[in-house]
This record gives sequence, C-alpha cells and structure tokens, in this order.
Amino acid sequence: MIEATGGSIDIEESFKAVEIDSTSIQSNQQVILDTTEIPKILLPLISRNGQPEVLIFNVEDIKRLRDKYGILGILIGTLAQYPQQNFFLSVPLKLFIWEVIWLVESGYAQLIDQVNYRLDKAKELQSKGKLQNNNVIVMTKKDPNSKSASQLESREANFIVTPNTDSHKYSKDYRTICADDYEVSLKDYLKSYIESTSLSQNQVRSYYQNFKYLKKQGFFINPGLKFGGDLVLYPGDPLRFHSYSIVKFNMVDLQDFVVGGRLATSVKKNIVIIGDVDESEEDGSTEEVNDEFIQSLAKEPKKMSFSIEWSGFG
Amino acid sequence: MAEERDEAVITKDEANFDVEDEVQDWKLLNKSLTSGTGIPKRGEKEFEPDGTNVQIDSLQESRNAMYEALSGVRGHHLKQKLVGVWDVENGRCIVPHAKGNYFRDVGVPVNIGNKIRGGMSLNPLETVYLVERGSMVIYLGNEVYSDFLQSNEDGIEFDYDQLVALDLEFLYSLAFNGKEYSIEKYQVYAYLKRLGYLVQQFKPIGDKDQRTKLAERKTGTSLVNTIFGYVDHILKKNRLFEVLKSKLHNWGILAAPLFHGLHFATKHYFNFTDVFKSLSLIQSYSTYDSIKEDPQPSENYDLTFNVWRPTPTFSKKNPPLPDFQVSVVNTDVARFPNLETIQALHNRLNFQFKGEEGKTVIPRVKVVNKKKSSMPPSKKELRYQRQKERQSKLDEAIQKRNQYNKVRDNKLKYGSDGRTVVIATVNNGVLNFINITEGDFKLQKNMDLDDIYPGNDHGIIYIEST
Repeated sequence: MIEATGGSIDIEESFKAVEIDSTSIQSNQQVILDTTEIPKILLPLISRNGQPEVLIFNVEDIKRLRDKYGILGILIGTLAQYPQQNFFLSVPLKLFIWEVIWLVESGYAQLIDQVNYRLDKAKELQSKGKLQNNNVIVMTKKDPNSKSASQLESREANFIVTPNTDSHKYSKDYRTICADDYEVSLKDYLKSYIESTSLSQNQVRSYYQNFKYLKKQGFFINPGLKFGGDLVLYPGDPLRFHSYSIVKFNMVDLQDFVVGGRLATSVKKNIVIIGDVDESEEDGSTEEVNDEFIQSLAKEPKKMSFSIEWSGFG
Repeated sequence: MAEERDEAVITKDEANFDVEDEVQDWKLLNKSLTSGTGIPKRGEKEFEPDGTNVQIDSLQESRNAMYEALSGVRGHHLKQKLVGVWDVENGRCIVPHAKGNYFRDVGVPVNIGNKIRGGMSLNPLETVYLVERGSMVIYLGNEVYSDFLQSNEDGIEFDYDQLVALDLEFLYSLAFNGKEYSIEKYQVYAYLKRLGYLVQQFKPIGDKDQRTKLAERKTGTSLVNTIFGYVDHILKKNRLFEVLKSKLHNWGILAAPLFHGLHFATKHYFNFTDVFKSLSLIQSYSTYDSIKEDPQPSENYDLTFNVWRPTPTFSKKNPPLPDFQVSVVNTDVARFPNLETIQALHNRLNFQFKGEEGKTVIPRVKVVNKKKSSMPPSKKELRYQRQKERQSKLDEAIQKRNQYNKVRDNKLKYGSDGRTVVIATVNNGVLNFINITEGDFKLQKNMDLDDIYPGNDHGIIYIEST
C-alpha cells in the first residue's frame, strides 16, 4: 500500500529541518559572488569525441567544490595506498551533468578543453627546454624514532611517482592562457552530451531545474542509480549524514509507485517525485541546443513534489 | 553443486545492507591504515545537522581525512621501476620492459624495431589502471622516442627524462579522447580488477562461434558421436529398458497393455503424463532455437569484457572459457534490451555445449581450499547438515524425486543451459550489475535431468508414479 504522507504536502515543509544548513550555504555563495577575485574553478572536459566527462584531479578544487558549494561528485579512481578494494576510491572526481551545468551557470566554474590544452603546453615546455619531470622523490617509512631532517636530505631519491595533476598549473600565466584559448562553452558541452545520450533537450532542462531546485533547498545531492532513482538527497555532507530520500523525475505507472515506495522503505528512505507545476510552461521546446536554450536553463519554474512511503499496515 | 547453489546465491545479511551503497567515512580509513585492521565496514552517521560544534568538527575531521587520502603518494620503488610510453597516434601505451605480475592478463606482446623485444602494448583501460594504482609511470611519446625505436645502434639506454612525464589528469585526457574507450567502461574494468578478477576485452575464444558449433553437432561425424555417446550414457546406467519403455510410451505404442486392440487406433490415455502432454497447446521455445535465427543486437549493447576468477594457471595466450562475460551499458543511452538483443548477446557468448570436447579448456584448479577452521559451523552450515541427514533417512525413490525437483528448479531459476551475460549498468558514475540467463520450461533433452529420470518429459511437472 502506498500513501502520500500527509496528503500532498509541499516538499518545502519537510525541508525545515535543514534550514540552518541551507542558509549557511547561501550566505557562502553570496560572499563568493561579491569577491570576484576568486578565480573560477577550471573543469577539465575529457572525452569530447564520445560522451563528454568532467573529471577533477586537483584536490584543492575538490575541497573547494565540497566545502564551499556543496558539490560532491563521485570518486572513481583507484586509491593507490589501498588498491584492492572498492570502498574508498580516489581521484578523479567525476561530476555529473547537473553539477556541471549548475557550476557553470552559477559562474563558479568554466569548462576547459583538457586534451588540447595539455598537449599544447607539453609541446611548448619541450620546445623551450623547460621540461622538468621531478617525478622521483624520497619516500620514508613513518618511523617516529629515527631520521632527523638532515638525515632525510642526505638520502637518495627512491620512489617514482605520478602526481594527480600538473603542479605548474596555478601560475597567472597559465590561467589567462587557459581561460581564453581553451574554454568550452556550456552550449558545446550540452550539445555533445545530448548527442551521445537518449535524453532530449526538454528533459535535460527540466531535470536540471529539478536538481537546481533541490540544491537551493540546501540538500547535498548524489546520483541515485544505487537505489533505482535519479538522485539521492542528503540533509548534510554524506560523509556525516544518512540519506533519507530517493528522487525520481518521472514515474510511468502505478507499479512504479509501489516498487519505488517498497524499495525506498526497505532501505529506510522515502521516495520523492518531482516535476513542474505548470506543464504548459514547457512550450519553449527547442529543436537544437542554442543560446536560447542555455538561457532557459536559468529559469526557475514552479516545482511540485510528493513524498511516498510504503505503508505496511501492522 | 546444485545444493550449494540453492543456499548461496541470495545472500541476506542482517538487513540487506551493502556497504558499497553508502558513502564511506574517511576518518576510519586512515585509522585502519595505521593500525592495519583492514577496511572499516560502517561508520557512525547522523540523521540531520543540528548546528552543534561537535557535529561540525567531526564532519571537518572526516573531510580532512578524505582530502589527505586523496593527496597521498601514487608510485612505486625505483627498484621495481615500470615505464610506459604513450603513443598518441595509436592511442595505446608501449611498455618496453614488461615485468611483474600485472601482465598475466594485461597487454598484448609486441616487438618494435630491434629495440623492443618482448614488450607489451596496452589499451587505454589497462594503461590508466596500472598508472592509477601507482604500479607504472608513463611518458608522452614523441619523434625522439620513435626515432630511437627505429635506430639500429645497440646498447643505448633511453633517457626518459627527455620526455614529458604524464600526470594522471593528462593521461586520462589522452586515454579517453577516442570513441572506443569510455570512462564508464574504465569504471567497470577497474572495479573488477580491484576485486582481483582477471579481465580482458571481450573476444571470441577458440575458432568457432556457437552457430557453427551447433551446426556441426547436428551433422556428420558428430551425429555418430552423439548416438554413441547416448547409447554409452544409457548402458552405463543400466537403464536401457526404462529408456526404451519411455520412448515407446512417447510414440503411443506401449501406452496400453501389449496385446490390447487399441494400439494404432485413436489415442487413448492411460496415464496423466500423456494427458498433460496433449494439453500443452502453446508452442514453446527452446533456448538454442535463436542461434539458427541469428538475431542482431541493438547498437547500444555489446559484449565488453571477458572476466575470470583469479587462477594461478591462467594463460593469456590460451585462455580458458571466461567465468563471466560482461556487457557495459549506460542507462542514459540505452533502453531496456529487447528480445533480439538479449538473444544476440547470448548467442555471441563464449560458450561450450554440453559434452563438447574443448582443447582450450584447462580444468580449473580450485584456488580456495576449504580451510578447516576452528570456528564452530555457522547456522547455515548446520541447517544444511540437518537437511542432509533428514534426506538420507527417506525412501530412495523419494530422495531421487527430491533431487530431481531441485535440479529442475535450479534450471528454471538460474537458466537451463548455462548461458549467462552480466549487464553492468552505469549511470552518472554509479555501477550496478545484473545477470541475464535463459529460462526454458520445456527442458527438452536435458542431460542432467535425464541422469535422474531418463526419458522423462521434463517440461511436465507431474511425475507419474510407476
């Protein structure tokens, strides 16, 4: 049996519990917008010939995304310290499409054509003879009762490493070159994304606006395939908090209703369906990804949502 | 085997809890790394932010632990130095001196010019995996390096510091620039490799596909073999009479007493099996039927990997049949597969028909020897033991029937012919694995079931008591 808890409650009500969190985030955002000096995060765009991917390798960027903007992403790389397990993973951090649009649209980040940028830079380094790999380091066992600093220096380098990302990256020089010559517009990104999937323009817009709406409420959001949904919501950073909602963008029939409700309840969550209040607003359907479409992403149409729980009587 | 399977496939722990479903608490990782207690299972989490400093501090601690782990060193000791060079043109990695255990399943042997003898060529997935876990460093190849490879001078060591050492970011952007290798395929590949499986790109093993093998089974020499095999099979079990009788039954000859006048006349029914048989009006489908029709898969579904459980006898040159065959699918791109697609996937699997002699197949050595543990047997083991005891006290005919039912049920549950494809679904970086096998209610000519009740029509659930 399914019951929409408390009838058709507006989702706003259930969000009161996390108000503290959401306001703190919003005030953060305010600060960032004011101080325009903080440079935009550069989002490396990879695999432009297939489905485009945004992968972050710079731990400073990962920190900023998580601490300041509440953007989680998903770690997909092997953790070198512990390479034979799948519980703790490492860089790269993969951002999913809604996170990417949100970051770019909010002006916190810009997309960079990573392959061409890096290839050109490598060429330049080599031609100028400035190449320095510095990939051999001194590695010591953490042994508290030996090795003073001087002893360490005298030791020979013994470890060959691959860093996460390019260490020269943050020179001013780089930033200007990078931003100007290798920027990829949101339009191009979405164009190739939509081409490589079976999503339509309108779906992308509507789903993104769902994401944005929930993000604005202060939720931390992850993709939701693990639980058969589109998103999973957390009241705070999932490092510390349990998720209690699975979000689904559309339901086909009542069977989905029951399946979703049952599954969510069995993993101690509820299921939230979300959509536009006024369907007719979607009439601005565009055939192609153009500037108009990009602008329409910024709209904030009225959203409505319901929370479903499986109620097993008794 | 059948019994074990029945118990083992659906594992239910306390509350259907899967650790990987949850976001991990990184605090525990660093603790366990230093104390060496293995991977922490489950952190303590809270339900909502309450604004207290305790909570905020504890969150910050977890975050810092995570950032620290992400900044950890990725590399290996110079003594084991393993170098790869990225070939931009071909989108592959050349490993001039391949050594170490990693190459059991990774790479294709190559020789280039007279500089590289016994080197390896790696595809992007393999390259990124090895570099990412710190086992290999990689440099960007250029003209200087290819000139070196083609030169004839002997005894010169190449100085790799002339080349640009790739960081992980650079490597990813090069490796996944083409269409063929996607991040999602890499995620599945790395996931399986981290679990210790041997993984290779899917390729047909042996020189014949299912279609030709099935055709051969039906003609010429193999027909004789089948007949001999069948006769042998029957004689060994001393069941000639039973089989003959059931065959004659099937043709309606011995259904009535021997000298009865009704033979060859209108059909009369003398037992329930015959009644049921004549009631099965709907045509049924046998799993191998689709091989002849050769349906085509939709473009979004293809077999991606051959996967083996870790085994010491694995040979890259001459691999055994894979334990799993995986198809990687992005849920944003592909819809639920239609019947043709599923059949096409099954028909393209590396598969051995029952009773087929395979030269390439090495009998699998069991890696895990059951250790005699000092632990008392688990509840499950106890239950299994008790069940076995109870069974052994039953009448032999009943035991046989139970055995038969169990085998048949498993065939319906887990597929009747052993053809299984694992679909790895990927959505926005999240993985899920699904098994698809073929169910076959008709169960015609099933050897396993014939062993127990020879000549029976296994598609009919009713068992005639004779």
